[in-house]
Amino acid sequence: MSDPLDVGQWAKNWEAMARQAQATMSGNSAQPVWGNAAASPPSWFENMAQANSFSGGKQQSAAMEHLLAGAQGYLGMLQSLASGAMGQGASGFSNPFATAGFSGAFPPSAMSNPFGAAMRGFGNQGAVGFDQMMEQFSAAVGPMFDKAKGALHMPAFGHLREKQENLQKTAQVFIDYQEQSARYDRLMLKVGEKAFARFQLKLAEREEPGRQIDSARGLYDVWIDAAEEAYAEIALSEEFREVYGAVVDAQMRVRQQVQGEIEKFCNQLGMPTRSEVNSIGERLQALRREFREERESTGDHEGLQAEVAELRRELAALKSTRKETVKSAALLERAEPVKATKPAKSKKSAKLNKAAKSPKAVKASKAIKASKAKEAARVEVIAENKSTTKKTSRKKDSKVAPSHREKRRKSIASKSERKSVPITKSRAAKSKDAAGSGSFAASIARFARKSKTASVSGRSSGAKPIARKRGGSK
Amino acid sequence: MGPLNIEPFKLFEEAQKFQKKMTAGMQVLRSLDDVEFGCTEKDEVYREDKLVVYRYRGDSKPTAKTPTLIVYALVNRPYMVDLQEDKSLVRNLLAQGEDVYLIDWGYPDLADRWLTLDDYINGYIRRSVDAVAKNAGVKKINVLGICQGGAFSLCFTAIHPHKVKNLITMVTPVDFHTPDNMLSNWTRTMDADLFVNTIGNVPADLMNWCYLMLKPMRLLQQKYVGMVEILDNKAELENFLRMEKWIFDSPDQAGEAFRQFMRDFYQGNKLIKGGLKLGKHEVDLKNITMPVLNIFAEQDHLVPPDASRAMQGVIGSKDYTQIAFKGGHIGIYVSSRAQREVPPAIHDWLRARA
Repeated sequence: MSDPLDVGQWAKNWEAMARQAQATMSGNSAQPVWGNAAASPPSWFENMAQANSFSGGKQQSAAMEHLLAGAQGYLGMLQSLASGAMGQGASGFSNPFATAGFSGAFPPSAMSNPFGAAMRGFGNQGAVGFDQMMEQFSAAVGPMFDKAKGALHMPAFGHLREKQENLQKTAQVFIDYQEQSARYDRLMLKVGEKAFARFQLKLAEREEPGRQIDSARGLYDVWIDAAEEAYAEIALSEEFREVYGAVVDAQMRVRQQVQGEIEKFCNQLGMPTRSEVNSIGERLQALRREFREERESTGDHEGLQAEVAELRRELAALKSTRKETVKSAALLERAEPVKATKPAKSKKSAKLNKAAKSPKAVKASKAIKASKAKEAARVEVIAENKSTTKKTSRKKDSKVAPSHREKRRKSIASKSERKSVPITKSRAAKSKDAAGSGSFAASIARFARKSKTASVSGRSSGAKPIARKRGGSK
Repeated sequence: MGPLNIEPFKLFEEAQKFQKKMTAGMQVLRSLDDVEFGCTEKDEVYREDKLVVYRYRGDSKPTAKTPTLIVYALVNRPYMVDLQEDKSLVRNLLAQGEDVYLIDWGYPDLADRWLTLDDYINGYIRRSVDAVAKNAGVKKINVLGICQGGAFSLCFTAIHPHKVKNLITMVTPVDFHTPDNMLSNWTRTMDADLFVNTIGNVPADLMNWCYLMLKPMRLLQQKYVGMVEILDNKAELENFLRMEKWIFDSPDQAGEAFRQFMRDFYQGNKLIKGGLKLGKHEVDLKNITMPVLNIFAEQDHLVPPDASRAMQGVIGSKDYTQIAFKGGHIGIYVSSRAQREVPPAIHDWLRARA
């Protein structure tokens, strides 16, 4: 059974660790910020680096060190092969795996597992010091993990309740992260094993003469291919998906917890915090969005003016088209026998023009045109028939036989009523007018007949024969 | 017979050569000037917050009547499309007669922490498109979206189809749940809210680390072994360092936009499944009825080809063309094959739809 947790000591350790973490984050730490992912270079590599007199300038040296760190796998392999060649001669060297076994054929630097460093790298990117913070936490709290675990779920009470609960939560997220991180590392070890297995398979494929590997670089490239393939297989798996998500989430919880602690500390010192800046930023962005939306919806005069100008142009074009149509229709009607329909037509066209541009109006206008055209055709046919019997009988006809004229007009009106209501109404009205004028003309004719004097009508050469003819037909 | 047939003499020769390259490399590295990038003259046509829209100047006036706006991803700097004279998508498009504009997002900081995808797509992109259209005196423009910028362009075009004449997407993910999408696999179970609430803006170094971990052996080791081989060649070394500059010169990611991109695109796969909402607007890819050219890279480790191919059939356009480029996510802009193949393909496609 483990000893009871010394909460006082634990809290002391935690506070010391938090101070160190703060120092690291503020850049005062003497430790490197990039963690310890890079393995120490092999001796051959060190000698080579020294031989190249890289100490010409600090910057160049750093650049070259980075380059060599990247190339260390290749250099290690080269070194290993060279050692094998020196010690065993060409015959033994051709298969370094035969004696040492595969895993011992190359030094760890040559085939270091880079995948283990992946999540450490993730932790360090963009949040300097996370790795160090975790190490410090392990050093401070690690020995008491077992005790801490048991105490983490104990209820907190008393005047330090909040503080104690917070400490428990902090410890819990750190422990969770370490557990998830360990799962991730185990998965990466699996990648390493698979990579070696795949490498062996690839080498076996190269045993045939002509396909053998004849350079260290060639061998290195085969190793890289094998490692990448093995990694891709795991990295695309559902297991990786779950482990990766869990370790990232765990890391975020640690960060959040630490940020919370720092914010509390800042609040006590009267310093602004990230949360406060975030609140202001969120409100500001919402305001900007609202302002822009408002401005665009109501204040975009330029766009509106352009739209109105375009609409006006369209309207003017429509009007001019309509006028032309009306003119041509008027010309057509002048050639027609029924003069009375003209003014009605123009009035209607004007009304229709005003009524505007809607598709319904356009349809209606088409219907009007069609009915007018039909009506005109009918009238023309009637007039033609008439003219075959007596070419000059139109006016006389209207005067001498008002009842026929009236009937015909009524018939036309009723026919067009079937086609189009607005037209027939006015036509019918006009037909009545026409009938009225017809009876007046008839009474004049009667008067003319009675007086039996054609001398009064001698002023108009047209009226006389009509009246005479009409009267004659009677 | 074993798999190795390395002559000891050759081995020592190889080691010696490596050492010589390193020594010569030191001299070359000392003689190098600062790395420069971006080779084409450009003029600013619109600016808002940290965003700037540029119009590139070609040697002669553009023959294309419709301008093309490049919408780059937020996760890297857009000068990848105009890296250097012999590696420039922009330069080659200008040479073909296209009128090229580009959105430079700048480097978001804490003030941009609350920018949402709605702010980016219905705000910044919409206003940039309007600015380009106004500048060119046209009503509709061509949009060329790259990578994440391609996904944004799809959303924008679906919401504002009347503003886009032709849409071109390059290495653009549409289906985020293809089985070979490593980034998607990693983010699927992560708590996006916890992540963004904790770290706010996502640091560029963290993003870069994730990209490196997609191929850790190649990108952290093998690449630098290859670098030793070109250490004594100034021109090649400059090219290499320019690429390094671009790779690690990344902006931080605005927290809210990142949260939504992770949750709705990577986790929810809503771009293709539906249900994606940006502000007041629903994103329905069926609204994309204009001609679409989709170019993807066959060896893309960031956006697998299948993730791009999925566009076919989910958009409303009947004029859909796709081109599979033989190369990777970066090679599609900077390889010599890309210079030969990609800009003429884009130009020809646009010309047929001018």
